[in-house]
Amino acid sequence: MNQEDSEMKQGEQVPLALVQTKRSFSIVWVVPIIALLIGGWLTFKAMSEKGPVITIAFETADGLEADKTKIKFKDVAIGKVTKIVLSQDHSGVIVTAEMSKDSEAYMKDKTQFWVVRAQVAAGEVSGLGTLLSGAYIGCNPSNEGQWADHFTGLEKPPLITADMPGRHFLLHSQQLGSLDRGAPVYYRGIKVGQVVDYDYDLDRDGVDIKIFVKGPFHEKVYQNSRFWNASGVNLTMDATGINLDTQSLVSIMLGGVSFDLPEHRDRADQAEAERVFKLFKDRKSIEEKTYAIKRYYLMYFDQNVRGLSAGAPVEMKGIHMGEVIEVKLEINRETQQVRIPVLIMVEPERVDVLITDEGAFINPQDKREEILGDKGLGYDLAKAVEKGLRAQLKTGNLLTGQLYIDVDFYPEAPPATADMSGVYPVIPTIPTPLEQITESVAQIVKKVETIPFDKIGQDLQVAVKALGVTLAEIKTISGQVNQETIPKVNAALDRLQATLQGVEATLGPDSALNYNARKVTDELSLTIRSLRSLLEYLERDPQALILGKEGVKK
Amino acid sequence: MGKFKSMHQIACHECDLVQEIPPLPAPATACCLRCGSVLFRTKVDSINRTLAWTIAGLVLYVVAVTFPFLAMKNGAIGNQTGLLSGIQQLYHQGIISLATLVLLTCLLIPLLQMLALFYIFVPLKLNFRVKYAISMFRLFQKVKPWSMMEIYLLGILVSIVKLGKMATIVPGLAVIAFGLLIFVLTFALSAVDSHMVWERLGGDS
Repeated sequence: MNQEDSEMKQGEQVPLALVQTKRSFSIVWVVPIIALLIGGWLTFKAMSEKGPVITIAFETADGLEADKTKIKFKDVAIGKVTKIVLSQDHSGVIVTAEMSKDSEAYMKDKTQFWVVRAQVAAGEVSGLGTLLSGAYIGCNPSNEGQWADHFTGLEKPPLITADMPGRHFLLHSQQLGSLDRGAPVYYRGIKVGQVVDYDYDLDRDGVDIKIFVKGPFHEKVYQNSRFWNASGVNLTMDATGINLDTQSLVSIMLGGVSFDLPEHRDRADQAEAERVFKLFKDRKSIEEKTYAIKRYYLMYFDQNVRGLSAGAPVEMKGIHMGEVIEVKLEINRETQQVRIPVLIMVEPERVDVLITDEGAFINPQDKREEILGDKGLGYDLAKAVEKGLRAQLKTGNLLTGQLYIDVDFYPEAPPATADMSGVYPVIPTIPTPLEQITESVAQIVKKVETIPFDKIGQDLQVAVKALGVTLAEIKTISGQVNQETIPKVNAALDRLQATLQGVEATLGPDSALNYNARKVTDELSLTIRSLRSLLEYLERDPQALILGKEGVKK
Repeated sequence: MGKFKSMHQIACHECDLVQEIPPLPAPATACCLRCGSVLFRTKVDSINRTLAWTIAGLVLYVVAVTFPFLAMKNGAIGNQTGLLSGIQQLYHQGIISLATLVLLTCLLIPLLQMLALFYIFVPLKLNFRVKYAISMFRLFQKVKPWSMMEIYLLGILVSIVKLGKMATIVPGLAVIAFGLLIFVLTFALSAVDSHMVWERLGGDS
């Protein structure tokens, strides 16, 4: 421009002032700079906020939709599905998802993903919101493990999320029973957890059940807590009668596990996570102590054992000692005699044995080994049998006819010895009370039978004869009495009468003796009176004895 | 740049009177001697302004296209769209003609305008030549009436008001960028001094 101006100046010959247009920075450039700054900042922010891109393998993409399905943790979206493709071998689908920036820390190999769909199962309805919004991918972030960007999705939602306070425990059981994933765990009737998983244990040939007890209830699980199957309806019929036990309606449908301390048991330390417990079959069985030591004994019964089954209790004075293991039948080929061997199991630890050492009782625990030695039952069995230890079948329940075995001391029982020679020591038996009664009656009858009634009859006859002779003798004696004695007695009596008449005549009221006696007494009383007046006079006037009567003197 | 280098003649659009235009100071308007209609306006700093607004417009355009446009939410159902995905959805729903129309009027033509301005004004600013600058400017002039971004924004505003009761509508960053883009593009277009451009391009050719 300046050049052009100078050209003009030269052409017209008129000097013109130099025009300098300041080529300053035009203010309008601020606008694109601001726009660029904002755009750049936005882009930077968007880039830096962009979280990791992960892939999750699922079996099926049912309900999933690219660009729509969200990945949610606690119902907060932390990512979005961007792509769904089939896996290479077409066995499943690979879902690509963009996660939010702040979720990067949780993309560890322990993090779980699963598809949340509407689910209606016994006891639980979940994911109803997905009916409207479509399925979403649930996420259970974990900050343990290694960073990962490929995950394998779970087919079932995990029941427990990582951040839930609580503890996992393992239960060992023979059978799964009616338990299932999600089955409730109760503590005193309050639902405090769930069955998380179960698996068959090849080595143990049992079932491992994994449960989760949420806080703060996990603190109530002690090392000596007992877990039992609180499933459904439990109907038991045994020697103690019919027993019906039910839990809540949910547990009837779903099954459930309860735990508690056995009664009157001090709590031990809190159980650590993953501790293994035995799953008892019902509430009652947790109260029974478990005993490690078991002793087996054999006993032979001759009587009908109908109603005695394996598992029937063995009691001593009403205290549970063990149970019947096996009932069989034995026939002796030689004698064709039948007897029933019953194998019982006794837990000797149930018995507290008092042993004395120099007169002082010793804590049985100290001598546990000695007590529980081969002698078993805490007793020297041979000695105990000597003292009258016998086993007896008894009716436990009249209604059901269940039998149990009662072991007790019967000092009056016929002597027997414990046979210790076989595999199992044999405890001698005595018949049941009813049988005992019939036996006693039989014995009485037998004794009655042995009484020699005919001989007694003969003796009686002899005696009666002798009695007849005696009576005859008595008769003769009485005849003699009649003929000789009685007349004499009569005469004597007559004479006695005469004598008595004479006595009466002598001593009677009109008798002379009587009259004379009365006269004498009259005279005597007169004499005594005059003598008394004399004595009174002499008392007043003693000189009269010498001087005579004064009155007479005057 | 505010002045023409030499005087030239111009015919009035209204009355066809040919007249000579004197050199004009920077902000000035040349009016017809006879009918008084505006022949043209000189524009201050036209090249700089046009270029600046165009660049700002391009940045905003990128933001408007890449960032989420609108998010609609109703309870658990949510949907997020961008400018492009919205058109894509229209296309998938079978309204191909509408999709094409929106794509052209709201996305392609504004982009074309800005790119054309950029293509023409960068050489002007930096004093070098490019091929097809004239045909580009011709194209720019032709498509100008087809840029209808403001109508699109109006439609969105209407839908926000109408759908507001049914769902929560969360405007995204792109809406703001889009709105700004409309103004920025208007400024850019208004800064274009077509007489000057023709003169420069034509003079060069």
